[in-house]
Amino acid sequence: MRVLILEDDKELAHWLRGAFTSAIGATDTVSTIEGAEAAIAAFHFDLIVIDRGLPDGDGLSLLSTIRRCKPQPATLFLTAYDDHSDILSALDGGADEYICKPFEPSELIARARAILRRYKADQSGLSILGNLSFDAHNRTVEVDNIAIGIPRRELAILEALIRRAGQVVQRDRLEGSVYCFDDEIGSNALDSHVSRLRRRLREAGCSAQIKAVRGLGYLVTNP
Amino acid sequence: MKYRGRSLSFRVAVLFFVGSIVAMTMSTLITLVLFLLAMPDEQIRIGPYALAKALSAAVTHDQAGRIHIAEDFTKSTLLAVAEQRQSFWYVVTDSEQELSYGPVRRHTGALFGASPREQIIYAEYTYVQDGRKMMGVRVASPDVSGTTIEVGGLALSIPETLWVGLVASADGALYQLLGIVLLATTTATVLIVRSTIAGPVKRVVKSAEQIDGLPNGRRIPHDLTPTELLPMVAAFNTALQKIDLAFDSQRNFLSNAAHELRTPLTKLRLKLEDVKDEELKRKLVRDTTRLSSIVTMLLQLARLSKQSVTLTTVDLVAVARAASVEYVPVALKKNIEIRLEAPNAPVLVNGSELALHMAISNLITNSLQHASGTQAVTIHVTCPAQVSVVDNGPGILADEWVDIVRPFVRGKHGSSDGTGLGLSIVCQVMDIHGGTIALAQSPRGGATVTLGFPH
Ligand SMILES: Nc1ncnc2c1ncn2[C@@H]1O[C@H](COP(=O)(O)OP(=O)(O)OP(=O)(O)O)[C@@H](O)[C@H]1O
Ligand SMILES: [Mg+2]
Repeated sequence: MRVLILEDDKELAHWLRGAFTSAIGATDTVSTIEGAEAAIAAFHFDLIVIDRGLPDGDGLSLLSTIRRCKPQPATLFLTAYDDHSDILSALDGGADEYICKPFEPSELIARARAILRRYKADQSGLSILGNLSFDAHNRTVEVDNIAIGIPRRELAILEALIRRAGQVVQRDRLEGSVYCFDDEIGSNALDSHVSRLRRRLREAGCSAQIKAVRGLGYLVTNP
Repeated sequence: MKYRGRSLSFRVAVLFFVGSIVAMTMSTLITLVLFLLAMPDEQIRIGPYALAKALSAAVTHDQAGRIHIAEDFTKSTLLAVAEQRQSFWYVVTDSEQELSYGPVRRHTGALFGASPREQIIYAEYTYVQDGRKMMGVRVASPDVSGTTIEVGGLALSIPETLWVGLVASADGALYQLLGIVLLATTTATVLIVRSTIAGPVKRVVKSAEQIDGLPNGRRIPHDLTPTELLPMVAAFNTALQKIDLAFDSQRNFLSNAAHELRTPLTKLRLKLEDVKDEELKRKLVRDTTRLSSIVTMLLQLARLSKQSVTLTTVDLVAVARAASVEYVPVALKKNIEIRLEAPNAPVLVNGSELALHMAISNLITNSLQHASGTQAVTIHVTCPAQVSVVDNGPGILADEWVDIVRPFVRGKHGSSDGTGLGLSIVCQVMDIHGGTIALAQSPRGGATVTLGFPH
């Protein structure tokens, strides 16, 4: 794993480099957008940690360069701007994670690991949550290495939830990933699919749980 | 009425009214002068004719049958002017008597008397006296049959002739007619001026109304603007630009402040990782966290300054949902359930999405932070336009309700971690929206904070 840190404050960059090197892998630091662009062009990085207020502009502008990389690195914004609209504009631009300064050191590393796990899952198609593993390429689900059969729609729901494990997936998003445009959607069709999926997982002894968040949607967690 | 003086059409109308009178008078006078210069006979006729007409209107017979001339005539300025001429004369006769003034020319009497049976209504003749051509005019009185009036010997200059002519025709009807014409044209002018000025102004106003107040927003387009209004529109656009600049610099200041305040805090927090004494580290971390949240709250307060908040149509349900979703993971860690109860349709208010998000987030944070023991935090959105955040923690004591919304005031029941700024931020947000904040006790104990919006 290789990490690039774009941070103009020397002390902070130094600390981040130490923390990421020991927790994740080889870490480089740059202090300008220009430097970051040169580094990205020369090497492949798995994760890029970006500050926003930089001497040569807003770190957000790096997103377009990053989008052109193959394979794409994960991005984590680490910035002093915490406005709701600042966060939205970064996430809309394709940022994977947005953490506001000052941050809890342990939280930062945990979030970085979570994104990398998600990226690996996307590449290999394999997501793991507790004793549950979901193979997106072969469309199979295993609990404790024992395959369980899950119908197509419930599988689509599980996939959407597991991709954003620990976070709420809103109802309309879930419906969008499960049903086609011309499907008739009953008002509680989604709920009955979810409750069947839940039962299947429970009966298979799965440690991950699907929770309903009233009025908002569902989320899957591994307590 | 107070605005009369400022109304353009009123001024134009007054100007037009006075102007028309002057123009009419001038053109009448010039026409008359030209007319008199071109026709010398008319000049010598107008004087005696005007006097004969005035006299014939004034002649009556009293009860004894004697000729009487009304005071209207004897006291008139017309007569006074005429009497200044030595040569001026008049004579009023009926079959029995005669009333005369001045050196009357008598030789015509026989001439007219020669045909007694036909009534001669009007006759005129010229004669020369003292080397000047003069005219005698004879008219029959309209109402007293047999009465004739003869006037002559009146040589007048052109200005005098004009004056006499105008005074003589002052029988009212003409002037009333003129008055009506003037009034009608003035009214028409007011209306026309109004529509010609008001039309383009309205267009400018319409485009001004579309200015949304958003930064770098619209300007009034120049091509729709009449030339006369261009300076005003240009000034207006410049003002808008200045507001935008102020807005930008305010925003820049806030971003800089955020950056400048948070970078040292971050470094401070990271250095604490090296503190070996666990107990000391825990305390220091807590203080740093506290300091960070004060910075966050103060920046939020600063962002709420009126200049940087713009109101648009916002769906309360969407804002509440976005804010609630963010807190689900944190709540789960504390074993608290977050629920949203909202109608299926949008609940629209005029507001700032950013500020509302801030307010609702603060209320949810409060419930998660202070409502120890609550199992759920419910966010209710109701129509028309209310959001309440309900928990079943210890609640806020009723005697604290008034003070607790003030900055830096914290309650007895809450956790001690807060800075006491959250509710005052919520208050400020509601102030911007012209809405209300109400603290209450939840039905099953706990705090209920309700935000009400004007609708
Ligand atoms: N849901 C609640 N339940 C119980 N007490 C509450 C609740 N919400 C607010 N309070 C009380 O009101 C006080 C003021 O709240 P406010 O949000 O203004 O400040 P804070 O939460 O202490 O700090 P901050 O929000 O700035 O971090 C709190 O200290 C707490 O005592
Ligand atoms: Mg608070």
